Amino acid sequence: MIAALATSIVAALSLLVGADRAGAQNYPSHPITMIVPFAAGGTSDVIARVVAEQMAVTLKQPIVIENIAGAGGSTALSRAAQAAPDGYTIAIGNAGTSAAAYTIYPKLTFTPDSFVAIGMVAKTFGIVALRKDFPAANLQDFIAYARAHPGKVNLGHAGVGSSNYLICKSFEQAAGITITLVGYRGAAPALTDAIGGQIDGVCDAAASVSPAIADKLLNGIVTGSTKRLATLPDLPTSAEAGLPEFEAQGWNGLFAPKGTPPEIIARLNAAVKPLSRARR
Amino acid sequence: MKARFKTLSSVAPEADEHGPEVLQALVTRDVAKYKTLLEAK
Repeated sequence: MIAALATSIVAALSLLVGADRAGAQNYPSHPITMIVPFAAGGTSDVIARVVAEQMAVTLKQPIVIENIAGAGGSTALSRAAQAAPDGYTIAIGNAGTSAAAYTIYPKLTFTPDSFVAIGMVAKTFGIVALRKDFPAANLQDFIAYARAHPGKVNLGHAGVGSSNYLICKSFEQAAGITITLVGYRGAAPALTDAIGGQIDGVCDAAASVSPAIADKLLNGIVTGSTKRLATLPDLPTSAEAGLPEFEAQGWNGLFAPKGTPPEIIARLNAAVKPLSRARR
Repeated sequence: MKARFKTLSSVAPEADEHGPEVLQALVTRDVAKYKTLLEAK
């Protein structure tokens, strides 16, 4: 009796493993959903669409973008963590949604172990920029002003938990100053208020704030990159500006639910590989 | 594709940075990094 039961269990497991392998071999046989934990139009969303376009070419299946905003990206990542681990639901995350969120939202229904990494798809860079009439023209003047007026200077960001919030916190700690951080529902409204002079400045990703600096609507004072940005060649790095402790280099990466077969992770990773650059 | 990333002021990973293990290491590093940063007074 026990032997027969054991044989049945082994047979059933064999069938499951066989089906799993067959699924991986035929993968992908239908469109893949990529969950983006922010509203359409933001930096992560634009990067996701560029990446999805490339992956669709390699995988020969459409990648459907699904924007799920809310709770600093946690709503979306919760959905992704609970998806079937079959490679047909993946998510794009960043340092905010996939790292800082675990401290900011201690009651999350998922952990870092709920996901399998597929691969990094982009590096991003943080910038601090001020309204044009702010009484400090460069980083050192700004720090001196903020020290002389503790808590009186305010910088806007895209909401607690966003990567822009992390840029603000990193900057504040590196500079040793106390700033009033003003959370908005996204990067765009913070940028609008900084340009309009309602707030003193913003912490923002280069992708979002660069045009306003280039058009001289805001005064960029520092980037947390180790190299100058091609789009803003006059903007000093934190080391050049005398604050090497300020590091704001972010990333975007793709994740799949835990349990996704390694063969499928390898297929997905191979599909993002053409995005990488040859190191010069 | 590279040009589109450039217009975003973002860059694609280097060829030796695209592996899953690199991203996994970033997550592990940044979970600890931001815990320290966000819990600091």
